[in-house]
Amino acid sequence: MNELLRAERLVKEFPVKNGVVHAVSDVSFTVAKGETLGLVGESGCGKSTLGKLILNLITPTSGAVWFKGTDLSALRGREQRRLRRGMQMIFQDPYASLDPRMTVGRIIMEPLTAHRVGSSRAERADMVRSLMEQVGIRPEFYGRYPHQFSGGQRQRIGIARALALDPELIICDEPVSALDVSIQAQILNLLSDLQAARGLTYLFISHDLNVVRYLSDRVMVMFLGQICELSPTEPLYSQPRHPYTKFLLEAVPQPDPTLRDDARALLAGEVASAINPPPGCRFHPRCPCADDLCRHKQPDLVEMAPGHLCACHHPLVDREIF
Amino acid sequence: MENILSIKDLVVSFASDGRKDRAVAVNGLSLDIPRGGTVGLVGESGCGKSVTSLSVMGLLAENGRVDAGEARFAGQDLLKLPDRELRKLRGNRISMIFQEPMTSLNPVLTVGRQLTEAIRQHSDMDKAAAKARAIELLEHVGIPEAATRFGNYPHQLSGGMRQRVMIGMAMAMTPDLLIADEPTTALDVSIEAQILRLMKDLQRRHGTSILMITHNLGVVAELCDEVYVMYAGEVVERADVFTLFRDCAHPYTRGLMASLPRMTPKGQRLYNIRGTVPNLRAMPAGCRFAPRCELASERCHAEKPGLIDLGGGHLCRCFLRGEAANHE
Repeated sequence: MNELLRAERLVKEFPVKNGVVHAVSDVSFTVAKGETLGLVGESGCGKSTLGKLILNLITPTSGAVWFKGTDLSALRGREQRRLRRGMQMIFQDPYASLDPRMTVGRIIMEPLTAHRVGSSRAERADMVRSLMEQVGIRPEFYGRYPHQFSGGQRQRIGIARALALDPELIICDEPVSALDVSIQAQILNLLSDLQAARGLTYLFISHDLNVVRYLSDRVMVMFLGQICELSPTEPLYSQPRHPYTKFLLEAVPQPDPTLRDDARALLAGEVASAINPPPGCRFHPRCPCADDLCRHKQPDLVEMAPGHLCACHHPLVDREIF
Repeated sequence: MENILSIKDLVVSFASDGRKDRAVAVNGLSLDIPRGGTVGLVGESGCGKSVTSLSVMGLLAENGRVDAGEARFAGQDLLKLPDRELRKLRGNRISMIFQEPMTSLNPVLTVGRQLTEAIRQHSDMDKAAAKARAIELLEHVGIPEAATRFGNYPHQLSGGMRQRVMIGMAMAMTPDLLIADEPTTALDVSIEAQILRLMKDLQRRHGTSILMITHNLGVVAELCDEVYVMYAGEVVERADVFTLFRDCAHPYTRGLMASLPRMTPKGQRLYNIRGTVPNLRAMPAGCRFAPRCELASERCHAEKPGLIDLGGGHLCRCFLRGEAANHE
């Protein structure tokens, strides 16, 4: 496997008034070049914090991010900026992430100017027009402002901006969550096309399990700052090993009324707080399989099948327990 | 079957600054909610689904106006009811829950106070009994440490808890009709599943009818008996939920269904409906979906299709009746 990105024992803690938020706790994984790793979990599980750590937008409490074989934190100033050009981000809210006072052309050009790409403004403008074409925005709209575009088109503009520096890795943080179904499909297709054309690698963060399944080669499930399961996509969906994964999959309302099941088990309770999380397995207060061991000892991430990792003292093995 | 709410030929328009013409957001919509049933109203942003419910409840923004139609609820036309009467119905026989429950809870009163007030308005319980009932309701909707939460202000609760308080409120009032506008859109899947189950529970216990307004076809499949699909201010299809998901007829509905990533393997393209929703002030002359429809003929661009009954109350607004449509 040709490794592009490696997160090594990443930890991020934020001190707050009544304790410490354990946003990301000892998270390690790799992403291969050209791969899409899906990252799922509920609000507060640390998935967006993890994205920001990888981009070095926030500094980890401990641990390291390796990109193309180099430890990002070991670099300073210009060298770090040069390496970071290879990683870009697309955000959930295309309304909030585009400056309303800038024309679309300028928005897309900004990273080019900042990194002094191209020899003249005219050359950069040509590059912008080509990027607009690649994401399906007519180059004639160069001088328009963000409010003159629909939500789907604005997301395309955000994608063009992310592509400007010809990155290898794009972190997509809920890129289709704010879009209507028909527009969502257009953006997902665009992301697939761009990946095929440019050999892009995606870290795709989403709470939508159906979308993640469609786009990802592997999927990582997080709960309260930790990885609970990491697996190639199909095995995870057909045979989840972690009870939390199974609950999540069953909770998604499927667009098929014949699959209704009013008796199926639901995950009880609230999403626990990442401030002073419970000891032992962090999922144990909501888990039907929890016993004494789970209340006291944190489970390790163990390989259950080739490439299929699960952190649970009592993983689901070919049996129905709820 | 008896309908708890029957909307006929509703037309709603909006004025905007400096313009003489009004934008028509809902154009002749008819919809029936059978007593004890759950009806879904689906469509994408701006299709008029929320405007429909707001106009029925007399909650339109100031620049909005009901131009025509009626909405019969228990023999009265809600659209002609004086404000005072409508307000009485709203807190009483009709409950509403919205995407952001914060907007419907009073931020300066504890949830307990708001619940007990609702209970006492609808019963002759004294304060102590109402409090006990309120805590019981909070427990029932799955609020942990209900007795403590009783004294909390809305901002001290999570979004999921606030939505559950709203449902607890609805249970206290045992309404005839619950209008839910994207009630789970802002919530995590595990909380969404809990809320949907609570809504079913409310219906089972009190025979409450539900109008579920959503863009999420999964939620529709999970909860609804009948579904209306809206596009650009009009109903384009109506069917019972099983027919709709097995055999939808309108090219727009088919497109929506096909756009969903379900079991679609990686690398295979998702179907997508080309183009975007038309501007409210520049509606196509013929079928409103024609500019985006792969099957549109000259007739579709020139002439406006009506709702055709395909049999058994399955309505479809399409000249082709969707028969030739096949996006698979």
